[in-house]
Amino acid sequence: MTALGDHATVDFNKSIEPLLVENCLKCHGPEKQKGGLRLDLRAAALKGGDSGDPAILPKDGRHGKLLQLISARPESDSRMPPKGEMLKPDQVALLRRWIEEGAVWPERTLAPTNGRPREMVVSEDDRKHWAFQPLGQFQLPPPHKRTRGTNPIDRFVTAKLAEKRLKLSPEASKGILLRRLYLDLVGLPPSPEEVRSFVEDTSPTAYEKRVDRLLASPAFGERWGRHWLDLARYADSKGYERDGDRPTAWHYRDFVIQAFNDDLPFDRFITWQLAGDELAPTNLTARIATAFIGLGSVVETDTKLADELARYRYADLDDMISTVGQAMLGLTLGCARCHDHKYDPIPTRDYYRMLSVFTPLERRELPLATGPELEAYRSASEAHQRRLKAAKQALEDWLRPAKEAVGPKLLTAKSAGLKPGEKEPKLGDSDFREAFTGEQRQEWDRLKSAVKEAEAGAPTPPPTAFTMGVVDTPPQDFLMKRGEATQPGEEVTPGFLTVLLRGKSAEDYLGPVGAQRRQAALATWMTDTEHGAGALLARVIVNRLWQHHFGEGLVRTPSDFGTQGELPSHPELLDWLAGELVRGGWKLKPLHKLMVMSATYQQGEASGGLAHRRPSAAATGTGGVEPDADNHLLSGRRPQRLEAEILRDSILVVSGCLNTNMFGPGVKAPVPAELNSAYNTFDPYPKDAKDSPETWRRSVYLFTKRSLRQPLLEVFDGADPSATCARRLPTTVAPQALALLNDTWVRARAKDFAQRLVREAGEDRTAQVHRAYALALGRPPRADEVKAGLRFLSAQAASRTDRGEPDGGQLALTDFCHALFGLNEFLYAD
Amino acid sequence: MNSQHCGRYEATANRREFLKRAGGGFGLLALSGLVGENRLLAAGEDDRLLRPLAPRAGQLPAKAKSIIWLFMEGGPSGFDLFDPKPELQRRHGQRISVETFFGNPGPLLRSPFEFKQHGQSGAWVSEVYPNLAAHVDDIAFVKSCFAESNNHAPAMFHMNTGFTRAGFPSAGSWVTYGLGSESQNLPGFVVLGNRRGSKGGPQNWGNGFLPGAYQGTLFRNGPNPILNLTRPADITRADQRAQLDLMAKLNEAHRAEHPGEADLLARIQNYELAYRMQSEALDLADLSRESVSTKTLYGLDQPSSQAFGTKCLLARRLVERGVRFVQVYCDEEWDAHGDIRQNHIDMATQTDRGIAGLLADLKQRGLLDSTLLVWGGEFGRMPVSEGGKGRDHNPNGFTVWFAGAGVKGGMTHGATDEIGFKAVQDRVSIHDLHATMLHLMGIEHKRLTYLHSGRRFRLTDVSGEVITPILS
Repeated sequence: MTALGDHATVDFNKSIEPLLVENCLKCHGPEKQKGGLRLDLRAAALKGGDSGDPAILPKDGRHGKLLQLISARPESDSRMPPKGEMLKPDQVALLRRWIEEGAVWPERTLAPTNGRPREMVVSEDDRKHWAFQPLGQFQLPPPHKRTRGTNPIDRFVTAKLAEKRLKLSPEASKGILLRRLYLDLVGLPPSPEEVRSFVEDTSPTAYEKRVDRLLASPAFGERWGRHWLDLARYADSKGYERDGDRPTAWHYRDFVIQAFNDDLPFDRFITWQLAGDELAPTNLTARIATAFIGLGSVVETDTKLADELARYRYADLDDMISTVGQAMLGLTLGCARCHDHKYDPIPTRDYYRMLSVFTPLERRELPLATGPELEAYRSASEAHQRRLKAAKQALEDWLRPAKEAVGPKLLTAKSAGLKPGEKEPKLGDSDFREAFTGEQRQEWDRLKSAVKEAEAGAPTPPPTAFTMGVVDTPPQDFLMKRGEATQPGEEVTPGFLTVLLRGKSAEDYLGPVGAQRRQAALATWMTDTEHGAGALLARVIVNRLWQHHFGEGLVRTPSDFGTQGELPSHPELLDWLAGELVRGGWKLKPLHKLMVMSATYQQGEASGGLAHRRPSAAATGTGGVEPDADNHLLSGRRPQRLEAEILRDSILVVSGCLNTNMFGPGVKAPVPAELNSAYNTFDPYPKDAKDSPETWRRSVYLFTKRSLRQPLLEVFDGADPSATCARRLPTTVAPQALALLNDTWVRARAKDFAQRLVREAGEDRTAQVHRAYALALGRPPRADEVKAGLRFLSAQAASRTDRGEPDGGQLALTDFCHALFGLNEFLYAD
Repeated sequence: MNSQHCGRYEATANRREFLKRAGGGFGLLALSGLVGENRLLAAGEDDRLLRPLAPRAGQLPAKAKSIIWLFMEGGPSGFDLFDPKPELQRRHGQRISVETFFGNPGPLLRSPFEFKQHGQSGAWVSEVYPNLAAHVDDIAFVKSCFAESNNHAPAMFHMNTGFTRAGFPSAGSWVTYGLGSESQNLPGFVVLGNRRGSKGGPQNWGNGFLPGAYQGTLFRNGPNPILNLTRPADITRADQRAQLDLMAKLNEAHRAEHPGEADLLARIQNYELAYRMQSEALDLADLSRESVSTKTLYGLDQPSSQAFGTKCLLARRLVERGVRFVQVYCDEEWDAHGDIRQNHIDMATQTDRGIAGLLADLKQRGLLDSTLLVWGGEFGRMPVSEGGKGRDHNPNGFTVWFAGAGVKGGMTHGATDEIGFKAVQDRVSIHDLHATMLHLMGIEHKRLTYLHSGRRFRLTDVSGEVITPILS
C-alpha cells in the first residue's frame, strides 16, 4: 500500500517535482548531466541517458531505469542517489504511482536549484547571523586607563582603538563643539550670544546643560523628525503622473515631530505607525501615526484594465512592506517578492504572508472633529445642498421656457446661408443672450448669481487626517508566481519573518483565524525583543541615531542588516546600546544624550586630518595598511556637510529671517517657473507663490510635491520620497555651486543678512565683518580674515559706486554676505 | 561629507593626486555616497567617486560615442507611420474582442494616411513624414516592440528606467555612470524636455539610487538652458569673480585645517567649474553662429517645426561637445485619443524636419558614425477606434527605430500581427531595446550593475537580449 489513497492522483507540482529537484537535479539537471541524463525536462527524462535506456516509461511501473536505480539496494554500486540516504519507500511508491498514471509533467523545465530545497527553509543556522541574535550578548568593558571621563561608549571605543595602538583625538574647541552640537541636535547654528555664554561658562556642567536644553527644545523634533520622515518616504502628494495632493498628510509629519519632542517610547512610536487603528482606535494621534504604512506613491488612473490595476496594487503593497522592512528592520524584504531572497533567509512565502498584513488596508481620511461638530457640519451641509438645489432649480425653471421662446427663430436665422454638407449650427448662451431683452438679461444674471452665492455658502468640512484603515472583508491572499501581480498561486495566511521568530510562531501572535488583528500582531511581533523582531528593531534604530550623530553608522549600511550589509565596526557597543534602549523603556533621548556626552563625540579632527593615522611609508613599506584611514575606529571627527534642509534653515537663521512657527499644512515656497511646467498633474503647484516671511519656515514644513521638489533641497541631496531613504548621498556637483552663486532666493537672503549687519553692527566695516563671522560661523574672524573682508568690501563698494549704483556700499556688503554662504566652513559642521 | 569607508580603498592617500589630475567636470566629484550601501565595488570605482564623469571604456568595443534619443511621448502609432497593415484597411469597421485602457473600444479603424515605399530599401513611410522618408536607408525599424503598462507615467518610467515604478535610474544615468562623458564642462546626460512637462516628471531622467552626478539635466529652451546659470540681476561677472576670489582665499585657509578631506577641495574647484560653465552653456545655447541653411535644414524657418527643430540642432551641438546622452522630447504628445489623423499630422509636422535635418546634418559632419539615434514612444496605439476617430494606448505592439553608429540601415526587424495589435514575430522587450543601446555604446548590459538594497540592479533587470540583426 502506498502513502496515497487508492483513488488519489499524484500531483506533479506538489509531490514529484520536489523529489526530483532535491534528489536528482544536482547531477542530472541543467548544470551537470552525469551519464548524459537530465531529469529537468520530460522529453529528456523519457529519452534517458548515454545507456540509451529510457529513464521513465510512462504507464509502466516496473521497468524504466529511474525506478530500477532508486529501488536498488543501498550497497549496490548503481544505486541512485549514489551517496547518502536512499529515497524512502513511500517516496519510491509515489514516483511509481505517478509513472503508472502516465508521468504527467507540465511543459516546463524544473527549477535549477542545484540540489537546494526548492522552497527556502529557514534554519537555526540562519538565526545565527549577528543581527538576528538576541540582545545582551556583550557586557560593558572595564574602564580603560586611557578613557577620558566615565561615558560607557568611550570604554568600547577606546578599547578598540587601543588594539591598534590608537587613541581618541583631542577635544574639539568649545566653539566648534557648540556649533556641531546645535547643528546636530536642533539643526540650527547657535547665535553669537549662545556661543559667547558657552565659551564663558567654565563650569564642568556647561556642556551638559546645553545638551539638556537642546534636547528639550521644540526644534529637536523638527531636526530629528526629519530623519524619520526620510525613512517614511513622506511627501504631500501621491506621485506618478497625476501627483495629486495628499492635503492632510501633514498631520503625520506633525505627529513625528511631536513624538520626537515628547520622547515617545520608540516601541510605541513603531506600534502606532503599524497598528494605531487596531490598538488605539480612539486615540487620534495613534491613528494619524498609522498613515506611515500608506505614505508611498500611488497611481491614480481611470483605467478599468484588471491586470493594470493589479500591477499598481502590488506595487503599492510592495512599497509598504519594503518600507517597513528597511526602515524598521534594516532588511530588504522587497527582494523576496519574485523569488526567495538571494542572500538573506527570507523565503518568498514569508514575503507574501507578511504582505497579507497590509492587504486589508486602505487609505482613508480620519475625521478629527468631535461628534457634535460632525453633526453640525452634516446639518449645515444638508441645508446648503437644499439652498443650492433650489437656486439651480429656479434658474432652470426660468431659463428653459425663455430659451424655448426664442430658440426656433434663432436657429432658422443662423442656418441661413448654410452650404450643403456643413453641420447644423448649435445655439450657445451668447446667441440667446443677444436675443433676450434687457430685462430678461438682468433676470438671468440675477438667478445665476444666486446660484453662485449658494455655491459659495458651502460650510467648511470638518478637518480630517490622512491615515489607513482596515476594510470589512479582508481579501484572499496568494503567493504570486514570480512576483507577477497577475499570477496568483497558492493561498497564504498572514505571518511574519520566520527567521525573526524564536520560540513562538506567527500564529501565537495572530491568534485564531477569524479574530485576527493582523496589524496589532505585527506590531507586537515587531517590538518583542524576546521572541520576535524587537532586538533587530532596537539595533537598527540605535544605529540610525549613531549614524546621524557621528556621520556614519556603526553598521554603515543602515537599512541593510542582512548578510549583504556591512558588519558592525563595534558589535559589542551596538549590542550594548540596543540593550540600553530596551532597558530604558525604549526612550531615545537618554541615548542621544549618552552619545553626544561621549568623548568620542566631542573629539576634534585628528591632528593632520586622516594623515596622522597613516603609518609612514618607511615604517610599513608600500603595502602598509592604514590603521584607521576610513575612521571606522572613530579615532577622530570628520567634517559633515549640512543636509539640504539644515543648509536652508541655517541661511534663514543667519539672515535673521527664520519663521519659527511650528506645525500645520505644508508651506508652498516659490519654485522657478521653468521647473513648474509639469502638466496633467492634479492640484498643480502654484505658479504665483511669493518669497514671503510665511515661507521662511523650517524646511521640514515645506510642501513636498513629488513631481516638483524644491530645487535647492534637491540639488543638495534632499531625500527623494519615491522610496524610503536611509542615508543622504552627500554629493559635490557643480549645480550646487551654481545655486549658491546664482539662486535668487540665496541672493535675497544675503541681502537680508547684510541689512541685519547694519542694524546690529552699525556702519563700521570692521564691526560688520566681526558680526558676520559671529552669525555665520559662530566665531570671531582672524586678523587676516578681517583684512581680506575689509579689502573685498572697499573694492566692491568702489567698483559698484563707480558703476553709478547709488547703494554700492550696501550691495558690496550683500556680496560679502553672499560669499560667506558659499564657504566650506558654513556648509560643513566640523 | 561622510567618510569613504572600506579598507578596500587604498587610494585614499592618492585622492589629492587624483584631484589634481581631474581638472574639472560637471559633476566633478560625487565623493561620498557612491559607496553608501554599495559594498561590492569593482576595481576602479574609487576613480568614479572622484571623477564621476571622467570618460571610461565599457567592456565591449563601442560603436557609438553618444546617443540622441528622440522620445516621442504619448505613444505614436506604428501602423500609421511606418508599418502599414492592408488587413486593417480591409477589415475597417469590424469589431474585435479587445480591452482598452479607457474602455469602450470601437471597431477596427483603418489608417487615414497614404503610405509609399522609399529609398533603396523600399521601406514604407506614411505621408505625414515626407522629410524623414528620405533617410530610411539609414534606419533600422524594429516593428515588434512591446511594453507592460498601458498608462503613460508607468510606461514612461519603464521605457526610461526599465521599471514601471518610479525611482529607478534612467538609461541616461546608467550610461553616464558606465562611461562618463567626453565633456567635462557640460552635464553628461542632457534632457531637452517637453515644454508642457513630461508625464511622470523628472523621475524619467532621474538617477534613482545612482549618485546625483548621473542625473539628467533638463535644459530649458532659450538662451539660459540650465537652472541658476545666469547671475542675479545685481551681480556682474566681475562682482562674481571678486566673490569667488574671496571665497577661494577663505576656503583655502579652512582646508589647510582639514588636510586629507578631499571633498573640501572638490567643492572649491566646483565654484570655478560653475563659473566656467556659465559661459560654456551659454555658448552652447547660442545658435546665432549657425548658418541660415543649417537652421532651415532643421525646420527653424517655420513656426510648426521650429521648437522641435531647435532641440534637434541643440542635440547636435551637445554631441559635438562630447555630451554622452541626449534625450529630445517632443512638445505635446502623440496621445491621439480624440483624432488619430489630426494628432499625428500635427505631431509629425512638428518633428519631421527636425529629425530629418538632424540625420542629414550628423551625416554631413561625419557624426552619424559615432552617434546612435533612437526614435520611439512609451507604447503604441490600438488598431480599434476610440470615440470614432481616435486610438487608445496599446503596449502590445509598436515601432521603435534605430539609426547611426553601429546600426544596419534600410532594414526592418520583427513584426506585429496583421492588424498591428500585437507583436508576434521577433518580439522585442524594453529590456532588449536597452540592452541594444548599451551594446552599441560598448557596454555589456549584464555587467553594468549597482548594488542597492541588497541586490545588484541592472538597467535590464533580469532579462534583455541585444537585437543583433540590426547591428551593422
